[in-house]
Amino acid sequence: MGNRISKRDFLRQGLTCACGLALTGPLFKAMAGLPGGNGLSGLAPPTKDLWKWSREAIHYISTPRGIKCKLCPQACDIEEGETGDCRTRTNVDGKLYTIAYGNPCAVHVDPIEKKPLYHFLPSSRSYSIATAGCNLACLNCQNWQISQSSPKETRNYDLMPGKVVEEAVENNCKSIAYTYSDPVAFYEYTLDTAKLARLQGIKNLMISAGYINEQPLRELAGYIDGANIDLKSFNDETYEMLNAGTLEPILNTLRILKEEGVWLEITNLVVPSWTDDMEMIRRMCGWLAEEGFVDSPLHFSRFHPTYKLKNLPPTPLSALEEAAGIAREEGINYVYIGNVPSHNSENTLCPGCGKAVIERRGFFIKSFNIKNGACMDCGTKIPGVWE
Amino acid sequence: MKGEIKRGLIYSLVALGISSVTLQVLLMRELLAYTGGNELVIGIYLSFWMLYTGLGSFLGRYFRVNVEKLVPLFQFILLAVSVIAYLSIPLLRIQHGDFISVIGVTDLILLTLLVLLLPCLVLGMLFPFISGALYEKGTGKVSSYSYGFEAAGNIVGGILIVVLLLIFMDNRSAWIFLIAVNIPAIIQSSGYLNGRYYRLILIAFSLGLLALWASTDIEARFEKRFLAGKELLASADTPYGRLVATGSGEQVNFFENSSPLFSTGDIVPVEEPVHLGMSFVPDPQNILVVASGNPGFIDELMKYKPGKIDYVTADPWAFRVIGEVIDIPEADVLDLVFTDPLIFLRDPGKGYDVILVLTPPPSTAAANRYYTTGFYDLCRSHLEDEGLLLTSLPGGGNYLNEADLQLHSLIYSTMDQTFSAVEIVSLNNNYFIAGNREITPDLFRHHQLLEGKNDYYNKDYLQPDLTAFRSEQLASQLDPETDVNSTLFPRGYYIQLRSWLSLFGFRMDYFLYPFLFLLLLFLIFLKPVQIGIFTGGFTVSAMQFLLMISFQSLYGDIYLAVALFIAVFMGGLSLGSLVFGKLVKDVRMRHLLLNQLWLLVSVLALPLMAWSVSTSQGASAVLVYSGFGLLTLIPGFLMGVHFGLGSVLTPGTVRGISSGNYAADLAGSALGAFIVSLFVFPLFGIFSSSYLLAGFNLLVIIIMLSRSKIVTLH
Repeated sequence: MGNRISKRDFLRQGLTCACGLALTGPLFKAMAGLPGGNGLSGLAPPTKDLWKWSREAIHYISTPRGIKCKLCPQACDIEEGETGDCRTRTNVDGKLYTIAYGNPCAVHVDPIEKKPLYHFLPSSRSYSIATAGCNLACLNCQNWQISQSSPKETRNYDLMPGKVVEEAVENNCKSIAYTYSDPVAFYEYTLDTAKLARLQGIKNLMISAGYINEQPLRELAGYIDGANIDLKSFNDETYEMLNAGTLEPILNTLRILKEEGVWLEITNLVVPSWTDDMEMIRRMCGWLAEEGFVDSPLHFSRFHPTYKLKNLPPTPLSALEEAAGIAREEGINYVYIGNVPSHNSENTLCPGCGKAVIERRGFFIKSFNIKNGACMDCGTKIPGVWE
Repeated sequence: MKGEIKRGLIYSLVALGISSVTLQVLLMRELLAYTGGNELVIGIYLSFWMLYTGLGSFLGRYFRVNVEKLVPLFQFILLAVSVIAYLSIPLLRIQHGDFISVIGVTDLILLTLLVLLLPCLVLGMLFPFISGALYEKGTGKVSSYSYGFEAAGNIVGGILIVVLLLIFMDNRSAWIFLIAVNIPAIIQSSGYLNGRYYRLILIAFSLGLLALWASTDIEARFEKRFLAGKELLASADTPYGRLVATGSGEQVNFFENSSPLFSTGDIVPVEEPVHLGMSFVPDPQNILVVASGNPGFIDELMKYKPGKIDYVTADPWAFRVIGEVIDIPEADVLDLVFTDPLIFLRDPGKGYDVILVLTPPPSTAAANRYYTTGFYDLCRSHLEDEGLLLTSLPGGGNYLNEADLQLHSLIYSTMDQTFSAVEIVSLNNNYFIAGNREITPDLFRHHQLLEGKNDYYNKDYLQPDLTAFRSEQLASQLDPETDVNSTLFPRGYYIQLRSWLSLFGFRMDYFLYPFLFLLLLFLIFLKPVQIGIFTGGFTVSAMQFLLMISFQSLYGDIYLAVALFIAVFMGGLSLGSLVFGKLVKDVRMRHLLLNQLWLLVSVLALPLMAWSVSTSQGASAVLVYSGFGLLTLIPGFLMGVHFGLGSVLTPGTVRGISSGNYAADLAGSALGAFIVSLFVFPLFGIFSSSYLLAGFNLLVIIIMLSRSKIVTLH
């Protein structure tokens, strides 16, 4: 048969084809860099070496399996050269290091109401920082470009703790907010900055999902003045599927912050199809009331399509209003609706006389009727940090 | 063979072709609709289609029973599994919960893999069955005739389905058509059967399927389920995709291809772009809006008491669905334009003070059309001297990653090429304002006029100093030297595509090398003739994908045009396989090699045509369509000739040749569509992908030449 191939021919053909195809790899890379090509950046994983912005982490132990991080309930076992789920804590030579220290990728000055904190120095501005990384992986993360990246992948500022405090003072900010991603992911940086800020009389704000273990939280809480904790749902399964977390540790965080005397506000983002079950919201509000959080402002926030939930519509206003109604029925005193401009739920109503003690519109205070922490009309105490 | 039965089998082949193209279009539209119109699905889809059909064809040769008796049974099975496959798309997604999160690339591949399996296998098997029954003692030449009849069916199917979809605009009528075409085929081909009951049962079941589609709106039933308890208010298929309106509480939500277009009551995305755009012009009178059909923009614009508002939607059909559900404001000054925005802008017309481009970001080739130099040039020609254009990209919130920053730089550079000044304002979204005059931001220029009228765009929510800080921060990070975005270099789409792939952790290098290895195996183990057929399949399917993407970048209505592409391509294929015998009398290996060379030349014609189109802005649509038609027809024709030449050069029975060569063709087509769409195109774009494809053809010609020394040729 003439069309049978001999072994030699097979090898020759194989080599010819292999050489041709082997060339495709370098060719791909070369052509991608040409005009009209699109480059290959982003294909290689970031390196795990230490750098100027590394510090030895706190809250970890050595185990026979390697390092176990004790910072958050993810409890990552981190082998040599590996990085935890948060992308910021790496095992180098048997020690755990944070690579998120003094290198925020997002630095802004924001109105404090944007955090949102409505009972904490209203109308003031907050110096807001975040490094890359987060210990959760929410499908609806507004800041996913920061939170789902490693500090090695982002464009970062060089802003050590002392410099952060200086900048906050320079920009007339009364507080520093550790925000956008999650301060738990840049715990050591937050802690050191907060210590310095306190010395300068600058308040510290923890804007977080609250997914943190008790010991590190208590240590940090000593320097934190206000917190907004995102209670994303009241269902373990939803927490796992939507956020890659669990519910109980967050409830624990709320309890601890209250015990530690940190001013606390709570946000619940109502995501259509995920967290808009009104029965679940009722159970959540019932729990908050039972646990003594009736005076902690509760913000029901409107979802907008983002990240991996781009195919969902925004939350209907009626759903937010229903949730707010449920919260009031369950005994929560200060209920707000967020991300809905000009909605009348922006105002703070006195639970004693029902009058508006703070009339807000956007980031501005139209009227402020609180004196010495109490309603000017009926004297009911309005909890918060007002001065 | 009795003439009646022979005619019946020829009709069956034509019906197979019609079914193939109709099913291909229906399933592809369904997948496009569920994946946000992401055109990458075309490549993945084509590749699995070819792979499974090739596999079916290959397996078909191993059936040792009288194949003619299997024909009617498999024709019925084809109908049944096609319906199951079609309905399984929404079912699988409901089961998987995908409707509440965006589908990732791995899920998309798995979904396509699963949905196409059964119908394509059956389709593939039917081809050797029918051609074997028809030409039981024929030669390679008659094998290519079968190919021709099937392709003829493809043409008829392609044209009919376009006409059907244009008239009825829904998939249901296309399904009724598909089933109706197959019933006579089953009746005719079952003439072989002795058992009357068997014949009657098949016919009864087929009629039952027809009755089911005709009497029930199955799609609507699924859609309701898909919406997870929300109210379905309206839905329609348009040339640009599937439009759906749902109600949740007081809010009405509009979706196109499963992606939200807009929702009523959501004021920020309505107030922000309109009032920002208007704030740059002292007395805006004539306004052009290019948007997705949100009527909320009109209410905001009316606050300025303008002289004229022309509102053109990205999908001209959108207003029809929107108008069914919510009120579209009426005013003397308002003109709703039901034309594609690019066609509208190509007509020289009046000058506008403000042009607001409020289309979705360039995450699809279709949407990318509104972010190109060509589009901005057209807009500029419609702007008054002092006029301004505003467009936007979603803001990254507090940080932009590299891909988004690249996209922002790209849009900035693209606008900068057309306009003398471009200003950036970072609010909820990031806005680009461009014109041919100095631009000074003054967010509240019309503050007095708007006093108390806006819920969001006012001094309570927007703080000019913080806005300026964020805007400057963003502007300082942009790279003004970035390449520009154009219709046929849709870099915006490439960036978004790669960003989407990385969002789901898709590592190109993990997938690419196994496929290259597979390619290597084919090149080593196939016989020279089959290498030629394999490469031919690879080349034409990759070209089909690149052509469709080019077309989509220009016109944006591939959702409808896909059937025409398939029909024209199949026309070429049919013609080639039927006439090759007249072109070449004494078939030799060198004819195959020469034809391969012509395929290479046709690949190089793609960038040439693309270049011609991009440099002759405003060329008549007839000319451009003809160009696309020719570039679809010619490779199809060459592939038909290729298959015919290969069939003659391959020894064996008709069924063996049909299935072996058909399988090589489809395996090549599958790999071509998959590798080019998923790896080559996102990295290199249309032009460089064409060069690489031509290079691959050259490599194969060299391999075939070198192999021809060690094989005996006829």
